[in-house]
Amino acid sequence: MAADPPLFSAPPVDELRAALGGRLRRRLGSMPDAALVDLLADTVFTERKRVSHDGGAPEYLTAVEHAARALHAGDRPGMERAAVALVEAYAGEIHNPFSVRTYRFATKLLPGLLTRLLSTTRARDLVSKSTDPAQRIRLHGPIDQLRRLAATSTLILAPTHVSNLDSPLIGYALYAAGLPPFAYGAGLNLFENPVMGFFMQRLGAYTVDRRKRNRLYKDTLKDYSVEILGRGHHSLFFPGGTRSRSGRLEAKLKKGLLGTGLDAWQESLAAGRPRDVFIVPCTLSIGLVLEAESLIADSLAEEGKQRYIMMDDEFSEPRTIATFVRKLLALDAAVHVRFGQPMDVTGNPIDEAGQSLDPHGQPVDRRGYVCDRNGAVVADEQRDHLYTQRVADRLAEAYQRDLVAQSTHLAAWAAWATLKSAHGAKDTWQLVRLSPDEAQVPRTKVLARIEEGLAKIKAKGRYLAMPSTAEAVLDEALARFASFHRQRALDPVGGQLRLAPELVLYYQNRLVGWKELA
Amino acid sequence: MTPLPSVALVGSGEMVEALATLVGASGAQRVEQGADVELWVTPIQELRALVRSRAPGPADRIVLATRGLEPGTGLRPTEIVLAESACLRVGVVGGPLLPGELRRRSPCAAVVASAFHEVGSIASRALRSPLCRVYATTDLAGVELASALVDIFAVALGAARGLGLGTGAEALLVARAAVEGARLAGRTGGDARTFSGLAGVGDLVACAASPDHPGHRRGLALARGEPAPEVVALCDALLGRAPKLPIVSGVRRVARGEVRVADALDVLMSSAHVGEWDDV
Repeated sequence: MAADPPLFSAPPVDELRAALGGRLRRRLGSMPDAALVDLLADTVFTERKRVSHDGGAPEYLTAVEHAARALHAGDRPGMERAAVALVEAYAGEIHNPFSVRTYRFATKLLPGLLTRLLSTTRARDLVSKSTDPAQRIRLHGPIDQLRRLAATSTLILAPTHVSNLDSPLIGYALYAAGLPPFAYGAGLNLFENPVMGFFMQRLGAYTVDRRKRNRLYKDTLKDYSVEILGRGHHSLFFPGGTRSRSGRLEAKLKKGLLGTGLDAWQESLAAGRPRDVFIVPCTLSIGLVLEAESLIADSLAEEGKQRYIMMDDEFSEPRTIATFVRKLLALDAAVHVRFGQPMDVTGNPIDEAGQSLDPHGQPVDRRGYVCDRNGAVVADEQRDHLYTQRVADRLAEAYQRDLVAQSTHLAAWAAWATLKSAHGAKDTWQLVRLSPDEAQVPRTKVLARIEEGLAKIKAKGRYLAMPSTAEAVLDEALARFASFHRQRALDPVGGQLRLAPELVLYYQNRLVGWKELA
Repeated sequence: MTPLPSVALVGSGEMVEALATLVGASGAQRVEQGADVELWVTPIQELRALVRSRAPGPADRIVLATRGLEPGTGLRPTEIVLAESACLRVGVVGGPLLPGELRRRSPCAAVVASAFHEVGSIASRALRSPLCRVYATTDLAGVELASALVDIFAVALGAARGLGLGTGAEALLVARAAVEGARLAGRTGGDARTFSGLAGVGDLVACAASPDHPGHRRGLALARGEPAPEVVALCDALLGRAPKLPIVSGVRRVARGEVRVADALDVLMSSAHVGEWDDV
């Protein structure tokens, strides 16, 4: 009988509190006074300011004030006790114990729910008759290898991120792939929905309060990640940190949580109980993105600053998630989840057995990266930062390689390129402000570009999920764009195509890293 | 006190002997296997084969005393090691280390570059002594590109001497080398100050004073009208990273036999007058 997934034996909250408090105590042992004062002062200052408008639990506010008094008194033992108390409070807030019962219930319920959702859909003729979720959400990659690795090592899944729907989508993908449940950080706001909150709390989500910006809280989150990875809990992080607002694939990744895999592995080596940690890129390719319109508006506002003027939104009615999911799943093969080749915690590829490989495919002993010649682990934060940077670089490369391009991406790319050509002197901010009459391009020119683009990406051996002719690609894209967004990204008007430039920009941005299309 | 590291020297020739002198002076222990750091000396065109044959791994720290960029690929020396092996902790040693002067135990200086502080620290301790000042930097690409650029400017200096130009012209070359080095750094994410240090200007001053420097000899040959394809390849690799390097472009045209040295000099001296640090 297969062993239960590690998350099934997730510890109770008190045990986690004690563990994280213990980690801080060990660090306090060698922390100079000035560093401790700095750490606590940062907490007191930022948290007092924050709670003045956010409020907070009375016990937490008391803990902050205890820290303030210890600081004021210059009382080292008092400061240490206050720091530990704060960390234990954070630990209690972050950790949610996994519920095996709820997991079994949800995994029985989920496929049926999705099938029901699909069978009640009222989508158009393009919809395939199949109501099997497995037909709509396509999984790719070395799944057998990942299942084997999950049984003997700890996996960190590092997916791309475009939508708040990514978490449940990945949850489904992991379940459908026969992989065990993963722990993942979810923003506090996501727990506010009582139904979602109930399931998330019991199915691996740990709570991340993004309002807390103090170093002690961020350190506690990292310690939490190291702790649970060390206990063998598979974990999921979005290395981009947040949803991609521009639609581009993540290129500059956050290394804070990504580095906790390396820390956990080193701790296991030092404890004489080595447990490998591997990182798995996961590229989500989705034909339509629920939040595309607001995300690209955010991105343009941020990048363009005063050059971008936010136009008044004309949302007629709020979109519901269920409506979107129904429409998305109604589209044939619109969702692709590609698990990439797993790597070790320094960014090397690994073989079937989990051995690290050099560029010639020869196995190497990765312990050499962190151990001395006697096999003792040597601590070096700066070295580890560089190793994690390498992992981040490899992930960014994997996302580009593993992207599955869809008709909406290629049609948008072709339309945007045609629009730019027609308005040669204009930059992005001028193009997105074109009037509906100005933002029109001949359909024939867009078709020609799609054909050109298709040839280039096929020659490069890219992953594609779209028809094989330019006409069919454009027709599919037009149908998809017509199926959900408030504006149609591409709207046929006689022999022309009218663009909603921001939406087109969003979808075409997905292909920006493909140099053959530059 | 931190114990001195153990060092393995790989390669042969004058530069290996020079490094051996420095290691001896530092008191570091020379070993054949299991060193804390390996210092490799090899021409750039032989580096890839050396990496393949030695196959350094995760536990190794390799510091290269290799100049230039790989012909054909334009890769920097450490990029070759990273492309061919699982060794990640790499570095380079650059600057005016002149074997002849070290034989005479004349004081010298070097710069050790690595993104890894531990590599820079270990290599520095292995080489420094009252005989040699060693400075560490994390601008690895900057030091490697500086060495390559110095080789081209050494050719330019040799060509200037071949034409019988005076000290003023040589001073102009050295000063503009600093500007082109800073421009190269700006385009490649390096530190603009690196070329003004030992790996750039320091090394170039030593080349200017050293008629036996290979770049210098090549420059004299260019002044005599002899083509130099290896110089062309290096120029191409540098211009591929930063197109606006007028002196490098001029050397390239001469090395390809497109123009004579005197004509290339005319073009440079007649070009538009600009601010000294424009486009940096």
